Amino acid sequence: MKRILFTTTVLVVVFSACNHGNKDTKSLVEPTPNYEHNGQSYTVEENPLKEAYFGEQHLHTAASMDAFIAGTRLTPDDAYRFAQGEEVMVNGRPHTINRPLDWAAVTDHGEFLGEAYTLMNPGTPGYDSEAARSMREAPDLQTALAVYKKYVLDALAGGNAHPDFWQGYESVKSQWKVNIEATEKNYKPGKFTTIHAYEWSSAPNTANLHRNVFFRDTNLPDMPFSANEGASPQELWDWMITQEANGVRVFCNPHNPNESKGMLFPEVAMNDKPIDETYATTRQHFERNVEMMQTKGNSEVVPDFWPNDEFADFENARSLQEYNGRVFEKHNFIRYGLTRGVKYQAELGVNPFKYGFVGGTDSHNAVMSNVEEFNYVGHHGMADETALDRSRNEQDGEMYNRDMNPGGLTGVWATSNTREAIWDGMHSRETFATSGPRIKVRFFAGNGFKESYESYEEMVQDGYAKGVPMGQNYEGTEAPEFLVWALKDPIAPNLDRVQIIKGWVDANGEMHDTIYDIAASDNRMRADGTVEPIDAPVNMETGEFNKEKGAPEFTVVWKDPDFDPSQNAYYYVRVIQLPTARYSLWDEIRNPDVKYPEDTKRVIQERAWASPIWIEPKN
Amino acid sequence: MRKFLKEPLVHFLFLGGLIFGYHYLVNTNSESENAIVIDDTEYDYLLSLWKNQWKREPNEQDIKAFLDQYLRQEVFYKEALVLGLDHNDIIVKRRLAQKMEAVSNDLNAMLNPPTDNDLREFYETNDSLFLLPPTYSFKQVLFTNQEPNWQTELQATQKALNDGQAIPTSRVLKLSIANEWENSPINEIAKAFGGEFASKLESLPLNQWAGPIESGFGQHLVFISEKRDSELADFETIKSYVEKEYEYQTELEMQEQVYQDLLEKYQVKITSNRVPESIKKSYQP
Repeated sequence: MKRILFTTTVLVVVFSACNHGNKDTKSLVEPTPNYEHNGQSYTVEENPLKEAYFGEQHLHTAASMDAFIAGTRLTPDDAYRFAQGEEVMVNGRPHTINRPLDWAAVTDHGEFLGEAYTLMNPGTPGYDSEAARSMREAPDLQTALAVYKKYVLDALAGGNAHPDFWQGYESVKSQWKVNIEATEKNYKPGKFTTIHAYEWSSAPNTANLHRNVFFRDTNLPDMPFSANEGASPQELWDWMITQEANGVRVFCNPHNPNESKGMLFPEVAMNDKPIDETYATTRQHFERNVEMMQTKGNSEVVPDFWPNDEFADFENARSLQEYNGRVFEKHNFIRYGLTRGVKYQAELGVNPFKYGFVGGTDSHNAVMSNVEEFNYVGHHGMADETALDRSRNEQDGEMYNRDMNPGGLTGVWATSNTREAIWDGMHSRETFATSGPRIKVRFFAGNGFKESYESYEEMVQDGYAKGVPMGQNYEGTEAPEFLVWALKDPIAPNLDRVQIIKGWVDANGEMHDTIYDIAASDNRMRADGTVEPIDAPVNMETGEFNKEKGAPEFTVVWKDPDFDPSQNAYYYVRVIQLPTARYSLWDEIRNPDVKYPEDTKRVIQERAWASPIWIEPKN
Repeated sequence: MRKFLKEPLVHFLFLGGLIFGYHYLVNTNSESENAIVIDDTEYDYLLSLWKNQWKREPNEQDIKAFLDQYLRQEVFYKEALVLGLDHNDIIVKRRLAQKMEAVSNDLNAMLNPPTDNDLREFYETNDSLFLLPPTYSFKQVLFTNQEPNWQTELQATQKALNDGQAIPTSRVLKLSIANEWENSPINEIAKAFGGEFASKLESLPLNQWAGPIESGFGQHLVFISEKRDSELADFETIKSYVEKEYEYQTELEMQEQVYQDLLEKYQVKITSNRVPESIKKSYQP
């Protein structure tokens, strides 16, 4: 029965595009096509108020060589099918996404695309080489790791960007073409959007500087620019400048600042020169969002440097620090980066770290946004495929599996579910990240908002008419009013509270940040502005969450009591959900012989983060 | 004949034969179980592995080192087998079982691609896989559990709506959720409201305001104006999907068949009295 239900899901996605104008529908008026793609016309639903479309912007398939070696054989096409609700085989077991996505992008590593093509295509030169064979045939994790070390890591260490069976740039182009075709094939305007993308994976001295690169349309380069062609972000931007000159519309999103060894939000560029206006302008032009959370941790903050943030201890992936010298430092976290950004704004007149927020999985299993805790089956092939593996294995050279999480999700506010609208929404940073749930959050700064609204429609119209949405600058002369709206996920518990996080630089150039609780459920707000913690425990035997407490929705208008129009500042929103079971608890409930170590969290408070709004005084 | 060729166990035994035969040929030189023989073939294999890694000819020291490494592994492996350490080791068990399952998965690739007739037959006999979901056209009005008098308000509103009045302004786009849904497939409804709400629609009467129906947001009044039952998708339109599904199902069946055949071969005997009778029975041939 379950299977039937799932299949119907798929059929809707696959065929609903053909249903328009179907003769036996009751509608007498033929819908007028309002959208064209590749010479075909479509009727696409338009939402003047904008809708939150949920999707994946960070995912690897078998076309990423590390994923291939770890056992993944699902292709970009398979990944897109999974995103739309089709069942696929993940590590030899059938798996489906709990809720299909609105949009998705496959971001295979640009570095080894050519090798992946050789590995997957019998008859191509190099297919039968010793290295390629051992990669295909690695029967278990240990062998796979040995193969990876021998043919990839050792080659890199020896100054070879590629293992010996690499067939040159023609093979890179071939795989890029396969990815492009899968992305085109699965695009169903109005129903399911796909975005052409790849990952630029530079990691100088194991500092993670990776960026996912997104293209607006089918005007695409004939192959991606990888870290092999240029390992510094400036080289990537130089390439992007050339692309723009060819009419290509492109931006990128960095991820895992938590693994960046202080290099993602730096004081000097990779050429050892201080960050200057050109650097800052170029960076802001091309880098639009930062990945707040993914399987290898939440990069917002850690309690080490933000001891007063009561929600900082959340999917911090602390065991990262035991590998590669990726020790936590304040410079590695997004709240620091944003504050340093506004300080650069004060110093240089331009902010190099002007980032909106996105969330992703970085799954190497090709399972797009498989983010729900109760549906987690690991993200790294043979390394974390069973509950037992997740409870006790390490992710070789990176962290403990039990410290990983299913990953985050991106919501984009857009007028329609089309490639252009979703890309534009991300480009203008009208995006929010969640730790998995489909919480929706809107955020405006302006003047003259009402205390309460008769309707949602009126509120949203007022938001745009009297203010700017998330991702923009507040340009008014008076103190801004912040209008925040948050809605729960229909299958998750209610919301605990809404917070605004402010960061600023004072007249002496000192950086500050602080947290305001602006709304809380169940009358828990105290007179001093703090909130009594929610008492809504998860049932540890069944995994069920509390269904009584919390609020399904918050609408708040808030003014900063300490607003100073002369200060460079940013404000972003954090929405906290009631506690729910973490995958570690589901694994233990379903597998009585699996026991996670005591240090592992069983219960978490999931959340959403809305992109900042900036104040940039024009002295 | 074709039927016979499709029989998974035949393939399985055939492959097994190949593997065994290869093993037999490769090991003809072994004089006794205890000897570890390094003949030309074995040496060349070890040598090529080494050269591939180091990209040069080994010197004598290197040769000694890789032979040592190989022998070390080999003697411990053989001794472990003699002592039966491979038995009941959960990791060894899982590895071997996975290896065997992988062999059965490869069987599928040996079959010819399905013909149009195969696909049509599959489509007709598995119509439940190709149903388009039921769709609903409906209106909804939402009351949250946090509203102090939601029960009374809901009843009053239900009456007013059934008397033909419009949806109260305060409940238009309540929580941003659209009031009118046209020809919405059941899975879209489940995505927006949660699965429980979607599954309750089926039992609701047409053309009247009914409720309260619970969702993840609160309590709803629902007015269904049209319901279209699930129907079979057109074969030609979904042919490529049928083909994918055919391959996928054949693979699953094949796996299951190999498992069942082997299960029969090994005759499961559950002697423990703690296993429920009904489960015991299910393993009897």
